[in-house]
Formats: sequence, structure tokens, C-alpha cells
Amino acid sequence: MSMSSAPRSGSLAPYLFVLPATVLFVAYVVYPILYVICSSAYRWDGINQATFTGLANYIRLFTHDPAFVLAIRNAVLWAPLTILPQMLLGFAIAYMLETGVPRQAIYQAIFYLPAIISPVVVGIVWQRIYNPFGGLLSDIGFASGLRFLTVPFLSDTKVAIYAVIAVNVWQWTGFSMLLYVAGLKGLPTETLEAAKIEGATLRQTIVYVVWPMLRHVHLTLILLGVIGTLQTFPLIYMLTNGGPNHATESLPNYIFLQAFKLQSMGYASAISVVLMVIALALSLFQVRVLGARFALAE
Amino acid sequence: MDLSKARDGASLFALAAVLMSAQPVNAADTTVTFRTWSPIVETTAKMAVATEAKLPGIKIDYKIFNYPDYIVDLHTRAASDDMPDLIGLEPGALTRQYQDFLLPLQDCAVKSWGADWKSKFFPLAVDQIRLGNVKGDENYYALPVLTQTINMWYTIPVLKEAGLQPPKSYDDMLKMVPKLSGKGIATMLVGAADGWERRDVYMQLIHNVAPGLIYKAEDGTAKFTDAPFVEAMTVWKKLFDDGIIQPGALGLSVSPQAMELTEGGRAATFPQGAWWQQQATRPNPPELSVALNGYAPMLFPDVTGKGRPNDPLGGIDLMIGISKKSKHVDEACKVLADWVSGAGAQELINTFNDLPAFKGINPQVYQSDNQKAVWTLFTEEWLPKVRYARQLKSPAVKQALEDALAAVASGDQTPAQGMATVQAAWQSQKN
Amino acid sequence: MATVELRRVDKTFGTHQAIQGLDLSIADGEFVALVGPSGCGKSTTLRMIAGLEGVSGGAIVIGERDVSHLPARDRDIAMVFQSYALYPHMTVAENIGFGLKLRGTRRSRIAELVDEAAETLQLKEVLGRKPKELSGGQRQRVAMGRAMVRHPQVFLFDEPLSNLDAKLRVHMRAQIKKLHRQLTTTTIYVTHDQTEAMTLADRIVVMNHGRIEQVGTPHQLYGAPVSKFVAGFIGSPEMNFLEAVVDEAAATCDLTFADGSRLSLGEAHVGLPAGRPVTLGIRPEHLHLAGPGDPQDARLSGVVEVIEPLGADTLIHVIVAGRTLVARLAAEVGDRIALGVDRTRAHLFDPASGLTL
Repeated sequence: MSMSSAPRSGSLAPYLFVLPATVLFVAYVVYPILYVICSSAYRWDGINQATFTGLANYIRLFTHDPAFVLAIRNAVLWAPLTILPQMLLGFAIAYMLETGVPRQAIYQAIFYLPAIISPVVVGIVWQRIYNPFGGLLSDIGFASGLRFLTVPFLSDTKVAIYAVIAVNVWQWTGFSMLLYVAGLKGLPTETLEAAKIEGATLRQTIVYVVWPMLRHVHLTLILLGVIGTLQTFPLIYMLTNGGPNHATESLPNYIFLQAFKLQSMGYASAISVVLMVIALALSLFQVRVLGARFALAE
Repeated sequence: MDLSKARDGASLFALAAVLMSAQPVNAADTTVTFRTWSPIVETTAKMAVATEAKLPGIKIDYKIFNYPDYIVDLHTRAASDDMPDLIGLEPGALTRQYQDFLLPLQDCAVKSWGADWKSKFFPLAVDQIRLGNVKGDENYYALPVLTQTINMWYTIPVLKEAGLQPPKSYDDMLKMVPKLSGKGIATMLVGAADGWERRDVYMQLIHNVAPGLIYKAEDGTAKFTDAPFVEAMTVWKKLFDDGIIQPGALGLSVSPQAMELTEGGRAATFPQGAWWQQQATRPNPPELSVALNGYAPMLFPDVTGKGRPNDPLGGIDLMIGISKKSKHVDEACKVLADWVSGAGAQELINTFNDLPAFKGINPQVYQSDNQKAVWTLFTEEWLPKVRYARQLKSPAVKQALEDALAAVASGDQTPAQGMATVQAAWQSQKN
Repeated sequence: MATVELRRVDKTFGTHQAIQGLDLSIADGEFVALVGPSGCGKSTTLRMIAGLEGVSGGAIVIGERDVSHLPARDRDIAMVFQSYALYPHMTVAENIGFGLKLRGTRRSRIAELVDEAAETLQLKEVLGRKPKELSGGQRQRVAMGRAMVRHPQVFLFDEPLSNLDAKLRVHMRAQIKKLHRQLTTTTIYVTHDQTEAMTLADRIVVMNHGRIEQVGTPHQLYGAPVSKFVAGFIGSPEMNFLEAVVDEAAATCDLTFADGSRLSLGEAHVGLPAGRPVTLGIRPEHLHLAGPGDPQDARLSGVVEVIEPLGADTLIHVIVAGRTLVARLAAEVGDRIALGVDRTRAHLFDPASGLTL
């Protein structure tokens, strides 16, 4: 090590440079995490005197709370069932638009539209579409004889979560499309032409060349999708509020319910800690296994 | 990420800047702050103007939130010791949670209306202020502004066209179904995606099956697993199975979906409270709601065959407390008193937002005879009779009941299983 | 292996006619270079042969097949791109074998063929690497390997060397030439670099404004360009051009320049009418320091302005008749010298049409 570039012992300068970042990190990340972990060991309404209960909140969470189990199940369903269709549909639309649709920008805007609509509006509109009592789908179902469309999508506890997932896919496919359009535009033309000359059919070009070359887009969408899964709140809050009977419960929605409506801040903290551990594990997995090379970073 | 909130903040800031530049605040003025979820902004604005006119030197700074946003705001303010002077409250758990931040208001009441202040309110209004008090605590931590009943309504032209009378019994409702369902009309239109709406129906059912029993279960002198609770739950399930409640009800929110369908003439009857009157006072109401011509209130039909009780359930819709740390207690008390019984109250009542807590305040203008008749029925016949609360004390029990109602309606649980989970929730919140 | 024939091929983009009535016959095993300035249509022509662009009119025939409307993959051709166009997610071996894999070749056969190509191109060491781990020259060789491995009827090269540095370019040029001698596959090679074309091609096609200006062997193009454009494009340094007027054309061709100086071309270009304006073209290597053998009227004199020593020889810039002439000989800056003109190698062009007179 060269002496000139090494920090002189006792010099405060290097520490001062990282101080602002450290202060912000501690104030906005470390402190809240510790606070939540600490709160999770209490029975506490968030306002008044708290009672220390040790691991009681966690014991209740993992042994006596069917709503929590449903929220976890829903997260497990949510991630693959939203991310994969959004990727595949988004890619398909992007590819079709990129290869020979006139007025591409108009279609892109139309497909992207749902992503910029407020979840409040999305919730209201889709509740209306799904409503078997005079809703759009059931009207079509009765008129056409496609009786599966007359199912009470949101009120059947076995179907509701898939109905909500479908809305999420509807809302975010346009976003995937947009990233794929950007990705496709960035692909070198000559490489695609090379594939053409080498004899690749459309299917082979997509499978062997285009799709693998969009790896950074896939990774970005998976990352954002997983983050989205763990943060799913407004759509569920508006569409079903986690119901019926927690069938569409999400962890953030359940945390909100416990913390504020049920005045169980301690219990909500315990759920938050679990959510945090899951998020941490997933992040590590993504960085380690998938590699942290994302479209936005490249 | 809630961007709307940030936007609200920005626009509020801009608004404040505009107001300050347009209307320099007199240095001698006292500003009383008010945060709440109810009433709506337009109504609050009118109340503030009327009250400021009556109380020179007092300015009212108000902000109205959605209910969920409001409880988060309140929570944050409590944690940072920054409570507003006037705090919108519900009786029961919410008031209990913030009790340490609230000033006992009996002195304010005596100062405003004299020692016999309680007699000037409807009885339920005074009773329910202390719903959340710890046993032995006799303080009044808020004063009621609006009260309500929960009941049923029917759509007058819908029944008329089908040649039907307002149902008085379960059988009446059952007979309505075949005459209405073909026309796409719900015998009872329920926005059962909302827990409170499910609970409101159940409260009326249990009130029919065993009046007063649920409050005993809350106190531990009865059990939620007792036969009457299961019976009421069974009726709830039957309402769905018999097609009285429309299909898909569990996926339909009250606002705006169920309300729109109702105002579109798709509901023969529907569970709503006295607050439904305000449908007539919104700008450009749908035809049925104009001057409230299309609707009339009724009591929940008898589901037991033993006769229905003639007292509706009810309670305080909105009460307002004063922060213990307020620097303007006197001014806050004056504003609050004016909103309960003065010029502000008159503005509030004129909107038909809900029923008054204070006796003798009536709207200054009725748009129709039906509207006047409905108002009179609520304030002169029903309100004085209310004995039992619409609300339950424990949020956990409330939630468990709402969950059980959804689980039973969807067929995931039997009525007995559903009530067992409510009892279990009661047990665990007691521990 | 096959012949390639372009018959009256047209290409229009919107209202712009990029290629007009192109006729070209390429023999089996021939190496043909398409050269011309950018925008002349050489790349478009190549892309039409490849099937990456459709033809607007006319026909393209490879072997006996009219491929004008066949998709690229059915034309049995291979193409090497300027950017190499390697698949970044595949290893070198996968890149080379991809075309075979698409055609359903057996895995073991693919391995054999890839190995063979890698051997020829000295890529054996890097077969397992991804393109981004390779040097420019290696990438270029992978692109060539990818083309060879399928043994197509025609190789198409689109400026394959222009992304390499000068030294590597010379090296790869030799490689390509060697490869063609080995494989004897019909090759069409697009370049804007006339040196590349001269050194590699059996025949060169000079294109300008979507038309063929001249087709011929490098020797023909150098010695007998049909136009000032071809004359200027072929040869380095470029041919010198001087405007002049014919003043005596009976027995000898005598020219007068703008400044009044004169030059007699002797009997080489007799028959032009007196007073006709012409452009004189003379290559730098056909100017020499005038000696006793040079007649007085076959000399141009001027002052040396710049010298460019190239090692083996030197270029000098001489101001003659108000224009700069480049000559391949040695002198000192400031010298007033007389240049002897190799009269049989002088060219005359019509200033209006640019055609050789």
C-alpha cells in the first residue's frame, strides 16, 4: 500500500465524508428496523403503555393466525402468477409492436395506460367488472352462454385471489411491455439479421436469440415484481380489502389492519419483522443467484 | 407508495400560501385546529365560516382525511405530541386509545349548556360517549355532534312497480325474490365487501333474535357461541342462500358500487343508516335521490317469527374531543359547542349528513314532503327510542365478527364455527 | 458453390431510388468486391442478395435458383457483418455452431464441424469463452467461423474489417484471401476501402448513385477507368486532375491550362476538336522529375509545397497551374521543379459527363 494514498491514522476527513450518508441510513433504515423489532416483543396499541410479552406475538402469528397464513400463501401465489404472465404478455405485445405495427406509439400508450391509473380507480372499475350482479363479465357470460364468466369472482374465497392477481397482471403488463420495447430497441439489428440468415425461424429467433439477449430486462422485471409482491397494498385495499375472510389478504394490508384498525401495533410489528426477513432473504437470493445486473443499472 | 398524500400536502401548502396572501390573519386571532374524517370538506367549510362569523377572533384550521388516512395521521400526531385542538372521534375503541390525550369535557358542556346539559341531548348520544371508558372512569372525553340509526331502506318506485309492500318478515322478503330477480333487482342489496356493512346487518339480526345479548357477550356474561348468536348467523347465511341478498355481494363495496346500483334502481331494500338522507343533498343527484323522493326508511324485517323490535340500533356518528395539550381550550370549547348546537350545527344539519345529537335542531329547508317525513320519523320517533349501540367495543371482536360473517356467507365456515371464532377472539383480547 | 446473378435489380425506399437496373454476373468461386462511397448502394445490394432487403424489381439468381423472394434462411448464404453480430449470450463454440443447430444437425457432427472451423481460424483456445471476453480480431474470426461452418454457396462480407485497427486489418486481409483460396466459395465483399478491394478481389464493382460505374479486374480499373469517378476512386494516392482546353488537335493533342501553361500529350489523344474543354487525369506514380529524355512540351513545372516521406518512397505536393499535384518522387520544399509526364498513361475526361474520352 502506498503511504500517500492511505488515510493518515487519526484523520477524521474520511469519516466526515461518509457521515451524512451514515446519519441518513441510521435515521431512516437502522432505527426504524430496530424500533419495529423492539415493538414486536410487546403487546401495544401504538399509543399507550406497552406490555412486554417476549415472543408471544410470534407464537400467535405462527400457530393461531389463519389470516397470516393466508397472507403468506397469497404472497407465494402472487409472485409467480403476476411476474410470469406480465413478462410473457408484456414481451409478446412488445415484440408484436416492435416488428411491424404502424403507429406503434399509440398502441404502446394504450397498453401502458393501466399502469398510470390510480389503484383506487382500478379497484372500483374492476369490482364493477367482476360483480356478478350486473357487472360486465357476468353480463357477457349470460348473453354468450359462457357461464364461467358469471362466477362471483371476488366473493368466492377460492377464486378471489386469482381474480385480484388477474387485475394486477392487467395493470402491470403494459409496464413490462414498455421495458421490453426499450430492451428490443437496444438489441443490435445485425445480430438479429445474422440469426435470420443462419436460418432461424421466428420461434427460434425469439427463443434462442431475442429472449436470452433480454436477460437484463427479465431480471429487472423479476426484481421489481418481487418487490411489488411484498408491497402489494393499494390494489388489494381497494378491490377486496383483503377479503372475503382474508382470502386475498396481503402482508402489507394485514399489517395496516392490525396496526391501525385493530390497534395492535406490537402484533403488526411482528408481521413486519417477518416481512422484512422474507424481503431480505429474497434480496440475497436475487443478488447471489441471479446476479444484480438489471436494466436500470446497465 | 401513496403519492396522493404527497400531492395533497403540496396542494394544501399552496392553498395555505394563497389564503395567507389574500387574507392576512389578524395577529390577535386564535387559530383552532381540527382534524377528522367526517363530515366532508364542503360541509366542514360551511360550518367553519358560520362559526367564525359567530365567534370573532377565532379562526378554524381544518383538514379532512379518508378514515384510514385519518387514523394514521392521528397516530403519528400522538406519537410526535402534536395533536390538533379538536379531534374527530368515534365512540368506543378509538376514543379509548387516545384517552390520555383528551381533555374531560364535562366542564365545557356545563359552561355551554348549563348543569342539565345531558337532558338537551338525545339519550343515546350521552350514553355512548363513554362507551370506551375504563370501568369507574366517569369522564366525558368528547361531545357528540352527529348521531345515527342503522336500519333498512326501501326504494319506493321499485316496490310500487312490482306491486309489493315493504317487507315486514323474512317470508315477505322470500316472496319478493322471484318477482324481482328476473328484472335484475336485488331484494336486499348489500355491499358486503365492507366489514361494517356485514356487521350492521348482523347487529340488526341479533337485535331481532335476542335484544341486548351481544353487549352481555362483550362483557363476558354471555357467550358468542350461545344459541341466539348462531341462530342470527344462520339467518345471515340464509339471506344469501335464498337469493335475498344479491349474488357476489361479498365482492361488492358499499361505496361507490352498491350505492350506485341502489341509486340506479336495482335495490328493493338495502341496509343503510340515517346518513342515507344525504344522498339528496349532493350536487346533481340521480333521479331516485332527488329530494329523497325515491326512498323511505324501515325497520329490519322480523326474521324470527316472534315479532321485530321497534327500536332501531344507533349511536354516535361523530363526536369531537379536545386535546389535553391544547393552548386554546376555551376557544376550542366554544367552537365545539357551536358545532353541537349553534350556527355551525345548523349548517351541518342542513346538509342531512346525519342526525343531530342535540335536540331541536332541524334542517331549515326541506326539498319535499317525503324528505320532511323521513327526517321527522328519524328524529321524533326512532332516535328517542334507541337503546342499543350499533358499535362493539373491542376492535378485535368486531374484526372477528366481520371475518366470520364473510366466512359463513361464502360457505367456508358453518354458523357455529363462525361464532366460535368470534368467541375465541373475545377470549384472546380479554387476556 | 454457385454463380450469382443480378438481373435488372431495382430498389426503392419510399420515393428514393437506391438501386437502378443493376446487372451483374458473378462466376462460381469468384471473389467480387463492391466498392463505392457511402450511400452508393453497395450495402443495399449485398443486403438484397442476402435476403435482408426485398427487391423492388428485377431478379437475383443464385446457382440456378431465383431467390428474389425467398427468405434469407432459404438462400444458402452466409454473411459476416461489420459489427460481427455475435450472440453475446453464447460461447464461441455455440456461436459457430448455431446455424447448424437450427438446421437440426446432430450434436456430435456440430462439434466436429465447429472444431474444424476453430482449427482453421485458430480459435481452439477460446471456444468456451463469451464474445465479450474476446479481442476484436478474435471476434472477427468467430464471425467468419460462423459463416464457414455451414459451407454455404455464397459468402457475403459487409465491411468486415472496418472495426479493426490498421495493422490487424492488413493481417485479416491476408487471412481472408488465404481462406478464399482454400474454400473457393463464391464471395461478395462490400468495402469502402479501395485497397482492400484491390488486394482481395478477382473483380471489382465500382458503384455510384445506385448504379454500376464499372466492373473489371483491379488491373483494368486501374489502367483503364471508364470515368473520372472510377479513376479517382481506384488508386492511392488519388489521381491528379487538371482542367484544360485542347488548342491543337491535328497531329498532336496539346492542352492549355488556366494559367496559360501548356502540355502536349503527343499522339496519344489526337482527334479532339480544338477549343474543347477537358479534364486531364494523371496518377502520382506517372509523374517523374523531368530529365533529358522528356520533350520540353511534355513537362509541367511548379514549386514544391509539402513533402510526405513514406519510408519506401516520398510524396510531394507541387503547385502547377494554380492546382496542387501529388507526385511520387523526392524533392525539397521550395524547389522549383519540372515534372515529366508519362504521356501514354495520361487520361482525358469530359468535364461535363465525367466519362473517359
